[in-house]
This record gives sequence, structure tokens and C-alpha cells, in this order.
Amino acid sequence: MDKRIPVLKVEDLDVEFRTRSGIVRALQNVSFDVHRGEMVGVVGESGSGKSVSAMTAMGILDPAGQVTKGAITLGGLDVLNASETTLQEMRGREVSMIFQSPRTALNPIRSVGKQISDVLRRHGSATRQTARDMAIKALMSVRIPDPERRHDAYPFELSGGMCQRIMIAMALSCRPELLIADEPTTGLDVTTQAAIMDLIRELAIERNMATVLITHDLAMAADYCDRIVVMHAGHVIESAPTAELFASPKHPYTAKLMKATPRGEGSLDDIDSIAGSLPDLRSELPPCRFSARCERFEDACNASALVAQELSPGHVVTCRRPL
Amino acid sequence: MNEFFKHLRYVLTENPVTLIAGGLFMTLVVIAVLGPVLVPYDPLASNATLTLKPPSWQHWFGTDQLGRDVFSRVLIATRLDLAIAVSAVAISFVVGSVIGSLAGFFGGWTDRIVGRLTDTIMAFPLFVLAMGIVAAMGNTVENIVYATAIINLPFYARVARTEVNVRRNADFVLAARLAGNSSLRLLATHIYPNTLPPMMVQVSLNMGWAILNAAGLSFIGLGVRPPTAEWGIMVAEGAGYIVSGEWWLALFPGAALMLAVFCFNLLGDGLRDLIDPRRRT
Repeated sequence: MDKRIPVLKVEDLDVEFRTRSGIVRALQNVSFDVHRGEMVGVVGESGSGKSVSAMTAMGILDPAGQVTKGAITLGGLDVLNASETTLQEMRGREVSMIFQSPRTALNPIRSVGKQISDVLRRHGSATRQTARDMAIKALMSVRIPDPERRHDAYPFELSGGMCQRIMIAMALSCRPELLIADEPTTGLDVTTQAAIMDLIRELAIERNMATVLITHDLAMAADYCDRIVVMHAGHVIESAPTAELFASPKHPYTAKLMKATPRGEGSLDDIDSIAGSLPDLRSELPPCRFSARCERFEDACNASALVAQELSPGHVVTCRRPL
Repeated sequence: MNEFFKHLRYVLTENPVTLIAGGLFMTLVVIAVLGPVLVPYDPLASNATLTLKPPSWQHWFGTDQLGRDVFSRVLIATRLDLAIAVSAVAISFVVGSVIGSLAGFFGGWTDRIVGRLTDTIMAFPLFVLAMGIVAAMGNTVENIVYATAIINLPFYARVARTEVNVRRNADFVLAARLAGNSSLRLLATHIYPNTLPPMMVQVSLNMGWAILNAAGLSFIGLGVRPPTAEWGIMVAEGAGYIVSGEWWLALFPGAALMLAVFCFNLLGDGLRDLIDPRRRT
């Protein structure tokens, strides 16, 4: 394993949500690291716990949610035990987040330049006098044409792709160590998607920043990420360097996911789907939450708790009968 | 600022109704400010030889039972009536926004307390409540202002609560939180400004209503006392003379009252357009 100190380290995290219809065990034993200059993809179906992990890492969990076990270290800070003031200092400066609907993620009645200035001034890197210039510079860094004029534009005057660029400018304005991108391209059309992802990668490399890309698009994760963490029903089931994961997926779910991803060549009939759906996280679950959908399932699979095993350097899988 | 005036011009010229309302509003403001300079006669000076004269070139709106010039009195009253309405609306707007926003943002007990408080106020017939407050606290102009502010409070609190509540979990609020803003800052700089366009409509509608309310209280003899020039009292005093044919005593202050209320009701949309940047296209 990588011996450097990771920017983000999530260890054995358990998160539960108390709802009217029972306790939802949203995350269980979730562990992953993100290092400087690295882009890590977190992939999985909707409801597999990708966003909950990210929100918990930023110290923003819905009041109904509760961390019952584990630790999160972000840039040396123990997130779960830090005070709200410390976390506020951290957010925006050490770690930033962009999400999937750029149009609604910007304040509709504030000019975009002002919104960038707000972040800059919040973290003391700009004064009232320098804020405008710095905001324009930030707009320039995300390749927004005519930044002087765009500075005074309102979100409703800009396209979705442009709004996402503004979000990125805002997120990166204080040069954070870590960027969490939660499905940053979901609301955008395909050509804009590629442009936005290229931009994120380019800026990440330029600033030697750690990036977490949360997505359900395995192909996109393959194109951009150095390492991929696969989640299913609140478990991390496999994590490996991208090339290795695609060359030899070890977990049956990962293998199935890859077969379910459309490729340029081959007909649509070749696409295999995964039977069943995510288990109900409110019910009592077996140690392997994929067992009900797994073709390789044997009774021994659920005999006792599963442990993650490292099959080769950096390739960790949580399965009793890996491929 | 230059930008703002350009937008102001656009809002006024785009919609003729707003232009009319804006013109009326400016006229009212000018009369309120310059009233004493504009009037041809002393509004309080009585003249026993000129009682109950119909409108003429000397006295445009005629004279009242004490020979006072009705035109001068209607003009002078503008300042008092506007001042009562503006201060009452300002108080209820500020207090209502604050408690409504807090209730909408924090929910829970804050919401419950504010909700029951506004429900309690609204459970009374509002004009009767205002009468009660003025009667209990004393017959002064300030108390008219407080009474009017209290009965208008629930409307602001409710609009603010709803508008804040629907945005509490909006993506842009989450984004601002993730940029390191504290809850109160989120509320004050990100959520609250978004509630202003609908609040402005409320302010404008309420202003007309507050004028009516203040005049209504004076009409029934609470608050402003004779011989002060005030539209409500003038209508009350003139009402008795309508049957005997001296219609001008009640008609002109009544018309002024109507015009002011009409103006504020029309102004609402224009004010919203002015404050909402989404209209700035």
C-alpha cells in the first residue's frame, strides 16, 4: 500500500439513519484513502452510499444520520470529533465539493462573481478591494470566455455547463487539498460532460490536488480515475487501481457491472444486466449484502463476517469467493 | 447604483400600470414632504364667515363646518397618514422577517412558538384587535403605529417562514454551507435575500391596508384627535354633512385615501420586478 499520508482517510465507517420505518444501515465498514494528486472514483448504484460517504467526510450529515463507528481524517483533522467552527474553517479551504445540478447549486439572485468573492472573503484570501480581480481570475482559470462580463451575470443567464464551470471556480478558489465531485456531469449533455471532466482533471493535476469522483458511470471513472472504489449497499466491495480493476475484477458484482456497461463495439444484446436490486437496508442483512443477487453464492459465504483481503498490492476485495 | 437606476427605468417603462403607480407614489411622497409649503391656507385656521362653502376657485375642495380649507387639510394629512403606514409596515416587516425566517430555518420549537403566536394574532378580527390595543394602550399616534404593526405581523412572519423553509435544503444553501458558512450567515446572506421579491409584494399590499387601518381607527375616534388633519377623521367629520348636501367634506379625503391605497396595491408588482434580478433581462 501507499505509505504517504493520505489527504482523506476513511476508516471502518458505519453510518445509520433513524427513519420512521426503522434504522437504515447506510454505511458499514467503509474504508478508503485518497492521496495527493490522485483521482479516486467511487462507483456504485444509486443508494449504495456514495454520497453519504462524501457528506460524512465533510462533516455534513443529515440530522437523522449518525456515525456509529469509524474515523475520518481529512488533512490531519479528525472530522468526526471536530467542532462546528473548525469544520466551517475547513470547508471551502481544505476541502470543496461540487454536485450534479449546477443550476440549482448557485444562489439564483446573486451574481456569480459575488458568489465566488463570498468564498474568497470567507476564508480571508481576498479583501473587498481585491475580491473582484480574484473572482475574475478564478473565472479565467476555468476557461470562461469574457470573464469580466460573466462576473456580473446571474446563474439564470448562463448555460448548465457554464454554471458547472462557475461551481468549479468557486470550489477551487481557495486552493483546497481535496475536491469531492458528486456526479458533476449528470445534468449535462455528453460533449459538455467531457469538457467539464477534462477541466477537473487538468486543474487537479496543475494543483496536485486530491479528487474524489462520485459517479455511477463506470466508463467515465475508467477514463479519468487512477483508482476505483466500488460500493454496493453501503459496503466497499472492491478497490483497485483502474487498469487492474478492469483487467481482472475480483468481486462478482464488479465483474457484472463491467458487463453491464455499454461499449463502442458490440451490440446492445451483449449487455448483461444484474438481477435483483439493492437489498432493503432497513432489514437484518447477511454479512455479504450482495449474496441474494450473486451467482457464485454458497452457504459458506454468509457463515461469518466478511473481511477485506488484499489480493495484490492495492487491490482489496471483500468477498469470500473472489473470481 | 447606476445599474439600479437603469433597471428602475426599465421596470417603470415596461409596464404602464407600474408607471402610473410609480407616478402616484412619487406625487404622494412629494406632497408628504413638501405639504406645508404647498398648501394655500393654514389647515387649522377656522373662518366663521366661510363655513361649508362648496368647491370654488378660492377653495378647490370647499371649506368645512369651521371654515377650514379642505384642500389644505387633505394635503397636510398625507404626511401623517403615510408616516403611520410606513412606520407600521417597517416594524412588522423587520420583526416579521426575523421571526419568520428563524422559524422557517430552524423549525422545531422555534417554528412552533412563532406559528402559535401568529395564529393567536390572526384568530382575532384584526381591526377589532387594533381597536383593543389602541384603547388599552392609550389614544396616541404611536399606539396606532404599534397596533397596525402587530396586526400585520403574521402576514410577514408567514411569508418569510414559507419562503425560507422551501429553500432551507436547496442545493445552493448546501453549496454555501460546504464553502464554510455558518447557519446564521447562510440564512442572512443566502436564503433571506431570496425571500425579498414575494415580501415586497406583501409590503406594498400591506401599506395600502395599513393606511386604511390607521384612517379607520381615527374614523371611529381612536388615535389621532381633532383638530389634526387626517383623512380618517375628516371623513368621519364630513359624514354627518353628506345628508344635508355638503358632500365635499367627506368626498375629498375619502378620494385621497382611496387613491393612496390604490397606488400601493398597484405598486406591488413593480416593486417585485425591481428587486428580483431574474427580471433584469
